[in-house]
Amino acid sequence: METNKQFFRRLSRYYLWYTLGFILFLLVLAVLEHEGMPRAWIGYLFMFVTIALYAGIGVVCRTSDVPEYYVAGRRVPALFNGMATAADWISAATFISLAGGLYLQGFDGLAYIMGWTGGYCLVALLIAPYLRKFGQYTIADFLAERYAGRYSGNFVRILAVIATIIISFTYVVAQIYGVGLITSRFTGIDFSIGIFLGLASILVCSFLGGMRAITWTQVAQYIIILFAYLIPVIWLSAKHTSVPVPQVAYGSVLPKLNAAEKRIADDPKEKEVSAIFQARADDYDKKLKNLPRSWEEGRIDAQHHIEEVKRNSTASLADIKSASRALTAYPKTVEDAERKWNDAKTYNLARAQPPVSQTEPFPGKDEEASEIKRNNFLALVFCLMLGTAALPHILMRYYTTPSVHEARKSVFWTLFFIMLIYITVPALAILVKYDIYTSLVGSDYSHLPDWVYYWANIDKVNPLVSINDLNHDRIVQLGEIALDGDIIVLATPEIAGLPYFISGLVAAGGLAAALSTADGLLLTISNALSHDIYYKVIDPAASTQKRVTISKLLLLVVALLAAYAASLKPGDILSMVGVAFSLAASTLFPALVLGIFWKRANQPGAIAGIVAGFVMCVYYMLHTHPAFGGNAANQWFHIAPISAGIFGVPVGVAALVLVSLLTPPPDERTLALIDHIRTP
Amino acid sequence: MTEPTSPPTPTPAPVSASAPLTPANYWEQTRRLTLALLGLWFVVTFVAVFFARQLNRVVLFGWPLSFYMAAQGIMLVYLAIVVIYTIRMRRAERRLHLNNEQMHGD
Repeated sequence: METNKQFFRRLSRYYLWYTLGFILFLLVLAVLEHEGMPRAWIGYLFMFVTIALYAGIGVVCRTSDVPEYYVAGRRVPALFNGMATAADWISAATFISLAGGLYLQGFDGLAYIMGWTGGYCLVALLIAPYLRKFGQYTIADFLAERYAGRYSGNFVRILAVIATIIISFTYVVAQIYGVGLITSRFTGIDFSIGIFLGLASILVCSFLGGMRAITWTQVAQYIIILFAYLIPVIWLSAKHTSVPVPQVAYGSVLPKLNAAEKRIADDPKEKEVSAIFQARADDYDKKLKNLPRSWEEGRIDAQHHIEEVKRNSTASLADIKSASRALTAYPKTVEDAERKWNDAKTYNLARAQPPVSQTEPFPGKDEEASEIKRNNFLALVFCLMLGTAALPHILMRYYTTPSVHEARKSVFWTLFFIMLIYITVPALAILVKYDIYTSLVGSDYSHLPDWVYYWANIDKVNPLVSINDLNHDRIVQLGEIALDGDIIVLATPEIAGLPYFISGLVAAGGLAAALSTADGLLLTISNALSHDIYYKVIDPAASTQKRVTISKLLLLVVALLAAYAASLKPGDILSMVGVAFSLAASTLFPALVLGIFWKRANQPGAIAGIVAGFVMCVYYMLHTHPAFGGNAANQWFHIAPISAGIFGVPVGVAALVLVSLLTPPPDERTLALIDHIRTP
Repeated sequence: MTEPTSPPTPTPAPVSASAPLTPANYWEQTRRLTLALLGLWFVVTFVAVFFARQLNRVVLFGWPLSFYMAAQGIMLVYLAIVVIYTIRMRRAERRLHLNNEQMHGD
């Protein structure tokens, strides 16, 4: 029998060799690119080699043993569990969109950086060590055992499973969507084929080896994510500051960026562009006010235009085509027109605004607007933190360490490895912004850099970047550039002037981020169904062999369902990921924390707390989120629907406390359990 | 876990940092530490952001203070909180085990 220390040394050796092998692979690709290998092939190589690697780890780690399958045998050393949890944590959204959010939203985007790191303080102080001491398999296990009582413990268990599934499923669909986006953007493979390729690797890995395979794959994925995120930023930092430590060096760019922001804000040409957008917005506003007459007139105009073009013998085929396209794109009904023109008005109004300052907190036109922004920032941070501390797929990972102390240490390593990436994100956003503000803005419109052409043509429907010379001065103004936030990470290698294989590496990193998170989430969902529902509720006499088999089958079903949902390209699913945090915070957080720290919390209280938190959170979202038929005018204290947890958590806690106090205290067994988990 | 090097001797009330801890004392200490660190967490997160506009007038090495805190600084405080917790709890845990071994020794 190998001791923990020997196991740790063996693992370290393996991953050291793995890292060296990965560097060698990068060098080989660098040489191949130099020798003239086409770009598409580099993209394919990165895709297939990494996916084959993850599947390979899955095959090596295959298992049908229950503790191995569910909790990786509870012998994952703290450092490696930290790395795996970091990979689990860093999702497609973090890897690709976080820096873009900072770029576009300025200070407001920092709420995500704070929320997604600060949540780990709560995990460390309030939850992880106690869960590890409890030492079962899922979050529902803990809640069911802790809130045993008059009714069967299964009541709480089923509530917890429902919450787990709703939270994890929205999240996993977004990850698989991310896999599709990355593969289609970098290799030109069709979106749906990309999804199923990614899915194949997830399945081979988690299907064969459960938590054990996922853990060791996630460690490998973290190493790729780290390389992919840091190399381009280090290069960019060296280019602009000549110091290759972006996390510190970007400070010297900040004053220069501020100066560029001021210069752009005062530029008369920028004001010209802004006025063009303002005029367009006013135009839509006028049309909206004259509905339905304006809709009628517009349609007749479009029809007239077609007839005119057709009658005109000199008109080319292209003219006729564009005129008829304008007619087909014209809103079909008055309601349709109202919605489309409202969107167009909002879009043009937004583009007419002067750019936000990167470092100024909560800019607003007056004190009140600024305070609303600040309150929303605080509410969002609150929801993201409490949500982090209640996400089942993260908490589950702390069951896999050998001891309580290792669980505590492992939260430290998790935060450390997450921080390596997160501390670089502001540097990346600011360095790219500086580059765009100083070298793209003011350049000649007919000589745009290559990366603009390349990324403008990747997605024709929603271009990642588009530059239109609106005021016809042949010079690029900031107002003329429309950027999708995702471009910040995707195009950094090209902006920094790095060879193409680094772009391939970034794609592999994004893919690793999406796959690692999807792996963890799928396992969480299938475990909740197989362990909590099938084994604990339906058939407690099931053999261990049967339990693992059922779990694997469910994994397959859930994965296919998630892939199907992602292939429908639900645009709103990405915004729903944020909502998942509010839901986790409102439903699971009060029951988890009070269950550990308040002995008086009992079963009826927990049921009331989970239900009330869930209802409050969902009610607020439905009531205020336009995507679910709500209206922003219904907001309380101007809090955005993504932060519904700010109301859900207090309601959940209040319900739990009140109902607990009104009903008899928990029995001796439960009190003994609490004492047990409180003692390491 | 850890073997005491010297045979257990009856000790007076737990005053030194390495004296055994009873389960009740251990839990009391855990609660106090948790509360203190949560307080720190709360202050650096919510109080600092609440006054972000005022704090941003202070500029340190080119960084406006509240921008730096929100972007990187607070993250480092979070890491420090977790480090302090892990180390202090490890120590308390050892003292608790010491107590358990004494109880079994008696």
